[in-house]
Amino acid sequence: MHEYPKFIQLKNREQVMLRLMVPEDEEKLLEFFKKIPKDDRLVLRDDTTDPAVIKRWVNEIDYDKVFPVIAEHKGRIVGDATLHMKRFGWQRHIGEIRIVIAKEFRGKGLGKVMIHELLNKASGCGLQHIQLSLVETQAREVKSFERMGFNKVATLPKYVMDVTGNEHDLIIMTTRVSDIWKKMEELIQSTEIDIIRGVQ
Amino acid sequence: MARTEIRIAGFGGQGVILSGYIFGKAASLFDVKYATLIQSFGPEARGSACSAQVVISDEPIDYPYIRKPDIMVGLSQEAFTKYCHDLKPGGILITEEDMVSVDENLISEFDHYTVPATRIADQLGRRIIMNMVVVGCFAAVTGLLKKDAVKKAVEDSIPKGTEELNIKAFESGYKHGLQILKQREVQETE
Repeated sequence: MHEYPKFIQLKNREQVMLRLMVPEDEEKLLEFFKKIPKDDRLVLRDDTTDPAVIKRWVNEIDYDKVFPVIAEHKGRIVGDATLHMKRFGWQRHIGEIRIVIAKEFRGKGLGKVMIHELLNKASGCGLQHIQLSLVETQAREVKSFERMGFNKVATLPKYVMDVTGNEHDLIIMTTRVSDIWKKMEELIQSTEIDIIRGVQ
Repeated sequence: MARTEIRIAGFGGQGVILSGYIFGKAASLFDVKYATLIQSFGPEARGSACSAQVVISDEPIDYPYIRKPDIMVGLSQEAFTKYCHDLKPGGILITEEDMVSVDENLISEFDHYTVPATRIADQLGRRIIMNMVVVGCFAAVTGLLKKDAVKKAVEDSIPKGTEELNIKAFESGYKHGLQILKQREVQETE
């Protein structure tokens, strides 16, 4: 298992601690989700302002099922990213990621680092595909994930109904974990190529 | 320790040079030693074989080529056969268990360790990380560099997203190395 906690410096030089979620995070998580802008909460899968939902999450922590990385800044949770894995069935090689970042910590590179943590975990535990779901109003997030190597593979029109009853297109994005390993293969091969070039 | 000469030899695609690079980086960046790496010289690089020459020293290194290595890592039969005679008497020899068949008479004067790096890497899910298993075993049996320094060098040298599995491979190799040392300790006390 990758070692936590680890400390990262964001683009604005603020330091954030990354660690795994623990049961003691219940109150901090509740505070975190309460401060997420209402518009962002429209399409969350759970009612994260409900203490019972958060209680269930922290009581059911199982890192082999859901790998939850928390970003903490000055004792406050500012990011929650999770990798969801199935142990059995036709989706056992697929991981799904979900991420929520505090508004004031967006655009500072935190999301990218947290996604990297999840991809690293996915790669380490043998998953082959990673998928995530967004709605069409999250155009900025779609662009960010594309820059990280994710591709839009499907759009389901008017598939999502937000908490106010409005319908949205669901965008499904995926990436292949093996693409990450291509860089490793290139690294190994390129050093060997250099030698051959170096022979007189 | 004044100067330790290391040769890592195998064939293309085994991560021979990357392993040498990691040892050098561990020594010079994450430990307080000096290191040089010569990737390969001579006609052997034209074929499939390749080798890395690493020198690690407590003092600045004035001559980066190896003469009689103190440690040799052999990852292919061809490389082993070619270079094992160069190893210093009493030197440490690490070979890949399934890739290299050794004549015990030939290596009786060496301190020989084997590591099933390819098999371990396969069990972890990716053969490409076999060199990290070897790096871990090397760190354990030679004790030349601090484990943390080598581990940091591994993390610092690999693509993002591959850390977890590469570190697992490193730790597996390290564990294997420690097990061999422990077995020897037990045999010696019996």
